[in-house]
Amino acid sequence: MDKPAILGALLGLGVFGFTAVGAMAQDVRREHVPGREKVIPHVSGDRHFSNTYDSNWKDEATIRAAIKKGVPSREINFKDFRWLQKSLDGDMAMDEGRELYAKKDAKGRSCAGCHGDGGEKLKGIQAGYPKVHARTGKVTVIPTQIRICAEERLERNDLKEDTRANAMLAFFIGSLSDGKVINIDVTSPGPLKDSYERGKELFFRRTGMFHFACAHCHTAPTATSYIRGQRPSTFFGDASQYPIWHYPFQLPGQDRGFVFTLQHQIRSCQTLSRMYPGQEGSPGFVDIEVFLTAVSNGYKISIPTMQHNMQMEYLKERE
Amino acid sequence: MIRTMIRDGIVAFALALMLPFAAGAQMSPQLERLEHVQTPDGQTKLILKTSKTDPKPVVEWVAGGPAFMPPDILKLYPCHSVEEPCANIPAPAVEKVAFKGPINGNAKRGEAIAINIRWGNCIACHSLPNGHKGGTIGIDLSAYASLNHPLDYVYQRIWDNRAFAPDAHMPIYGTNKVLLDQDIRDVMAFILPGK
Repeated sequence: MDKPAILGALLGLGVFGFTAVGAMAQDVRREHVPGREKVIPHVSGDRHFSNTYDSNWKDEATIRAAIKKGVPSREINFKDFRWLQKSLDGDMAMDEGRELYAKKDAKGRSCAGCHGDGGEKLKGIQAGYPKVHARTGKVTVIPTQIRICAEERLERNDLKEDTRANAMLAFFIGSLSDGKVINIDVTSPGPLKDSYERGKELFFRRTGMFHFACAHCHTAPTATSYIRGQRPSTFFGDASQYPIWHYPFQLPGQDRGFVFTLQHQIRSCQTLSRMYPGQEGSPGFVDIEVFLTAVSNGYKISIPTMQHNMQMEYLKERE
Repeated sequence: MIRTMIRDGIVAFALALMLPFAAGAQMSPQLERLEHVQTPDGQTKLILKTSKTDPKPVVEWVAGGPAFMPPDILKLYPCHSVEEPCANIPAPAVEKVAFKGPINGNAKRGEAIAINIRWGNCIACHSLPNGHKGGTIGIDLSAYASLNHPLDYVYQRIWDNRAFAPDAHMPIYGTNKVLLDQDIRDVMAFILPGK
């Protein structure tokens, strides 16, 4: 090859290097389950998916009427027992969260010291979470806010998002917003809208060893059908019950600690679907939680409730 | 001379543009680190090697054993993370495979693969022969043999179902090395008795 040709090839390779780096940074080829474009950030968006919201579960009276008519639980989006009915087991488990909230450290500091003995100053806050953290500028979920508070105000670093104590506190704090209507603004330009858009993409993105998306299970035809021993729900309105008393999945400790935050639920779903289970509180997890919360906009929070649609036989080891 | 230079430049440029697509058509390079091994006592192990050339295992997983799939292996596939390298792993291209009969499978091993939650786990979505009641997402496979589907069709369905149904909720067992050729043959022997 003569000199100019080599120069030409080098030029071409240079351009290749440039385009390749650009391609790797932005244009990863992804596959998605169809339907992203139909999602709106409101619970009524279910009309474009399972379309059971108006007829079966839009409020208490509708759910009661559906139960009376004999509509199966799966067509009420499981709101008959996961939302309408409060859980006594959940309430008993929550005592641990209450105690942690009130417990004073050696210097006399506690959550209650700032937020009121019964959590008066935290009433209703979950209806506006996830939100942009005033100082860090990052979109933040309640478990992360608990961790930040603990680190900065109580000098404790044992309240990470995936710990038992964090989940129990989140459960108690969530209960202080019981009955409040979820309302987060993901349409005005800003970090929360960006997070919502990323979360929507992640929810419909095919991932993992099985090449599944969250949306695979949580849209028709899989939603409401049997997968393993469970029937997945439609994803609209689901964030309203979290944290939830989630039998039989247990936090560390052999007792009544079956509490799932939404962050923990995402990780559990990933593990069962052979997707890489990320860290609770990490950016991808936050984006998914923002998305799931936004599609519950307009729905009342109900805590504590319980989830128990497991058929246990299936988890046992087979000989 | 200038013309030659421009011509070669254009050729190299065109090749450069094609490279990413050519790469996408092959098995994703990270999956080359994943090896399936049959142990003498009949277990199937997935071994994640340090690299394609260094066989030192990073982590091992026994198919059908008590452990969940290790995160180190799950990192080889696209994920939900924003900050970890798996965020930039592209979706695997659809693999179309040819199948040469006969099935040559072990139905008993196929049954073990199909009903185990930590192996093939077909039962999560399908009811299966031998009275196994399963999920209701996929079609009932308890009398699948009577549908008389061609064997290469069934094999492709299991290997990479996207060839027929791009959005269906079914694992791409072959493309993602969940199951190997012989595993799929064993499952076929189980769901297609007498074929």
